[in-house]
Amino acid sequence: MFYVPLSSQPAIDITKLVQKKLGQDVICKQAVECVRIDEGKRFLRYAAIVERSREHGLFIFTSSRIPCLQSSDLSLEVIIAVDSGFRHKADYHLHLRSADKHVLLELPRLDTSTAFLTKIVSLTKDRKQTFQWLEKYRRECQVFDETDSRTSNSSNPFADDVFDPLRHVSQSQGVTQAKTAGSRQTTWYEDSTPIASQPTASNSALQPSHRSASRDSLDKSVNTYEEFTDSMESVQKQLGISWSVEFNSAEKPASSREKFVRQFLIERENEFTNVQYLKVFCGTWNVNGRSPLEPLNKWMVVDNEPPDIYAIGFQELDLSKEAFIFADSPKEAEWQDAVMSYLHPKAKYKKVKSVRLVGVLLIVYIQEKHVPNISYIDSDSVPTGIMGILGNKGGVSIRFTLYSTSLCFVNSHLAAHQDEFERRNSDYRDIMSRTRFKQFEPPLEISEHDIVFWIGDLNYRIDLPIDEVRTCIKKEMYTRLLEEDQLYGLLQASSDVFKGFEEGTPKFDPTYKFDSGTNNYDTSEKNRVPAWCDRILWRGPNVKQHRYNSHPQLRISDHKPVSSLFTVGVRVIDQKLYKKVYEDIMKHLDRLENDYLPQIKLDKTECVFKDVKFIESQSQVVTVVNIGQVPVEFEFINKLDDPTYCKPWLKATPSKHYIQAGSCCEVTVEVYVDKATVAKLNSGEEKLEDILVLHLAGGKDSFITVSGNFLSSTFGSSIEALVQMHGPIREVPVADLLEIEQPGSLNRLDIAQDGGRLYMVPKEIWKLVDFLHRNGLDKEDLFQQPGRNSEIQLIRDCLDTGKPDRIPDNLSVHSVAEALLMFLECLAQPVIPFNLYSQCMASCNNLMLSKQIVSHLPDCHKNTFLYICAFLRELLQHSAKNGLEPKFICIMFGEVMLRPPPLSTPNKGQASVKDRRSRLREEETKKSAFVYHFVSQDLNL
Amino acid sequence: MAAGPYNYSYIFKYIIIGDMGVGKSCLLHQFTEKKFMADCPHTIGVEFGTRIIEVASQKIKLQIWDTAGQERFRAVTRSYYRGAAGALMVYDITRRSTYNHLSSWLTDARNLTNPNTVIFLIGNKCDLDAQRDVTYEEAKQFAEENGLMFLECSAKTGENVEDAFLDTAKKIYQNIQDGSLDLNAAESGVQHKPATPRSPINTDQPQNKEGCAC
Repeated sequence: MFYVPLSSQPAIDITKLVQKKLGQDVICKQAVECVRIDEGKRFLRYAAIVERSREHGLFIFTSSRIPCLQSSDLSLEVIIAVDSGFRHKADYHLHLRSADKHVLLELPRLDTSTAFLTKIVSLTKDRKQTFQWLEKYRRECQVFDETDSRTSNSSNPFADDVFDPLRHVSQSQGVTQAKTAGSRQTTWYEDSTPIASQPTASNSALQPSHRSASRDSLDKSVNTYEEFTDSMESVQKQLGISWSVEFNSAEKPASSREKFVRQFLIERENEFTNVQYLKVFCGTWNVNGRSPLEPLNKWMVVDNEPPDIYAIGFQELDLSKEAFIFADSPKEAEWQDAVMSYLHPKAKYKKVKSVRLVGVLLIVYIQEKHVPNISYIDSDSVPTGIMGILGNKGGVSIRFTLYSTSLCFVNSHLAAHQDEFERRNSDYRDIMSRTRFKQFEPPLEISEHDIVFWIGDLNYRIDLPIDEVRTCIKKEMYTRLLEEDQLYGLLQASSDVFKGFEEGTPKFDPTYKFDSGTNNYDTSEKNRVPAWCDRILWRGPNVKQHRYNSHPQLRISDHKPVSSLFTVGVRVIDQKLYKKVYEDIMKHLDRLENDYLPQIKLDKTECVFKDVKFIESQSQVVTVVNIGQVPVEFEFINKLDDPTYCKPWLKATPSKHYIQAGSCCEVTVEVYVDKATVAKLNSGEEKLEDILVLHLAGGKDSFITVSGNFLSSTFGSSIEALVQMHGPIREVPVADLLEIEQPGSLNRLDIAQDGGRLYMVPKEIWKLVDFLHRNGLDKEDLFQQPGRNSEIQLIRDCLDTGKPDRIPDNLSVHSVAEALLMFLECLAQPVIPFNLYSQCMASCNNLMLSKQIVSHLPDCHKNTFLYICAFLRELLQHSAKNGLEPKFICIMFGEVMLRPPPLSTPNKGQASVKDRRSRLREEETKKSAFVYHFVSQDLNL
Repeated sequence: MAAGPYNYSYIFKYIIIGDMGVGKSCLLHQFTEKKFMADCPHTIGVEFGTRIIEVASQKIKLQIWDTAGQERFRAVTRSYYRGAAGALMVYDITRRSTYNHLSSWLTDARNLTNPNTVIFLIGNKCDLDAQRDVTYEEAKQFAEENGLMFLECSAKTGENVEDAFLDTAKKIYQNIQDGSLDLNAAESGVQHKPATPRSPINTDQPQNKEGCAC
């Protein structure tokens, strides 16, 4: 065959098509057909010189149809601006270079090409240009590039998964279309109409199309069940962590589960699949461009029983020039009809698909009864002729999935001539590597099928002198011939060519080359050596060959047709068994999933604290043991509508932690009643009761109940209650305490009845002040140096229990000083009650108003206030020794005696830290100013 | 196809509520593990279990929260009602007191869940018919008056346990189908997870015109 350039056809003016494609903004000077060589591969393209306002660009187009018939077939692939950076090296190989691109084109040796080249040479002399107009077209190229990269970069999250059917299945139609548009494969045939190919339920469930390949890799990754459970564990470990973010977004568990289900299904496949045996007929015939003038039944009907599948391959179907150029060939229809009418008469058949590449035609039929079980039908063709793109040689393939087994039929016409052995091998490699079933994402290859039949005019010859071959044929010494048969040699040696393929021993005369119309070997002057050019090979399990024959009765061609009949075992899923195994697996996974939920055990769920005292911490340890299979992350979480996970007097440390499987974590549950919480516990408004909710990320919650009894303290009592208490607070029955802590209890009290004995000031304050009076008047750093915690606790006990009656003199003055400040600060109502706070703030600079406020205080508050102020005055009289300054004293006591009501703390809104600080400072000044009136002088109220 | 073969398309959140000792945890265990836990300790906290079920060919993942029944935890367990698509309210047919408390549990369930939450009443321990303290008819009437689904079950024998969980899911699914349950609502208790399509792109024509050879 020789190279017939497509554009030499007068019917197609490619320049006009490009012009139409680009619109009227630009002028297409000339367009030619060419081959673009990219990474050693050759692609048919159209190159065009495009001009606009004396600037030029070279546009390279792909075409969805070869030859291109309409402007819509064309898509822009690359643009090269003919600018100052443009370089070219032109002969019929045209190297084009611009700043960022390099394109190598090969032009046919035609006048049009010469004209094209001459134009390009002349272009380069143009001046420096801007080429802004090219941008619009460049964007088109980018769109093209993007769609291309997107398809290769599937959004499938399981892309790296070893056994994932999605790997081979496009996610959406949109992606496919992009793929088709960007396809660099040249297709030469027109799809014949196939039968419906909706996947059956069983197929979609197990997606078995490429199983044999993937199963190998699965075996490598998961050898045993133990290994699998290990891997499961590691995945689950990861899950444990990922769940901690947000359990409900259980994306990960779902996808891993899917993977496990599939792996389990593969492992247990035998439990739900049966093997069904089907008869497959394969036939191949190089018809030398003839029409089917002989009946084909002698070739196609070899057995009494009808085959389930027919795969018929022809070569040299049409040798006319037109066959290279036009999509349809009248010969195809003739042969299609002939095949159809000579299918086995005892069964009804439907065509699966047919595919033609110039003269190489493959037709697959299947018995009608199997149609519901066939799915994923696809075809492809690979030309291997001149320049690697012409279809006079090449291979066509049809693949489909029958039940759960994937089958692929390849019909090829490999390079001819005795000594083109290597060329044939390279054609095989081309077809094997370039065939792509694009219905799948990424596209499926021939090698990924369970069973492959490879038929055709493979053109392998017998390396013996012609006389010896003829003698052997006469004597039916096929073994001798076979020994020198090139293909037989390949199959015996472990070559990469036809690796894994098998062939039955041909026990028939070589099928090539005959004088047409006779059974006589070639008598022409070429005197070809007879050869088994026409062969039928297979690859895959469960294939048994019954017959392998040639059919010398058919004489129209210079080749004899060859046929073979096989029994092929396909896996059939028993739906009932499948469902049973599937449900079994689901149950198993459910159980696993529950087993792999985080599990912990607590050594106790109740913490009871006995006799909790003010400012004295008590703690217990709760041990959280991770008894599950996965690491857990726990956290104490807030209960409904609560702002924090626990009450302010309670703390759990750590409040959030991570525990490895089998390990444990000790959580310290601590109760500490401080000055902020003591008042409400004293008054009985609150109790030492709370429930901690220990939440496991992705799992259950556990409750830890915390309870205890609080020993009432004079710290945090009210002045009203304290002045009524004759004995120590611990000796007062709780009921009475609650009563005297009620607001206004003093007013209700029948003083006369009770002997009228009310303290002027709380005796505890008296005791504290008395101590300081006795021991601290001359001490430096009073109220500045912190006290000792243990001593403060002693003081607390002394005040609360009355034992000893007096604060022991051996205690540090500083501890007592701090206790006094603390006592004042803890009072349920400050010395200056909350309701007068803002009034005090407003009148702090006015002595008269301040006096008025104090004189109207309830007696016990007034007395306490004046008592403290009198003590402070006395302290200041010793300032020479103790170094106290009035300003400092007033600030310290102003803070504790004048406290803002709890709800109006200056924390409203989004006031900035700066604002708040300055406001606090301002209030501090006002408080001390207020106190100062009474500390600086005895006002005799 | 709406859903892949393994992926689930919905997540339903369930809570199980009812008095202490009525068998809530045993019901959960029976449902997820198909086993009866003989010595089930009191739940102090909230147990959690999952199972994937199928309703109308849809895979649904149930996330089940089994709450502590003790009265002292009542305030805390209320946190868990929020966002439940189904509530299984359990009493013990051999202990009348657990039945008498149902109205209080129902009040909580109604107040703390959304109006479309499916509430299913379960009379547990129906294997102990000899010790029955609450008749089927009485409970049935209570359920009808309050618009609840109802079954007597046994976590011990497994009787009706599957049905109770599945019927609840069916009802929820029905609510989704007829639009009464808005999946976009924050606390519907249902998450929809559209499954990825898995059939290959099929460029083939659906029907052949000339391929038939018969």
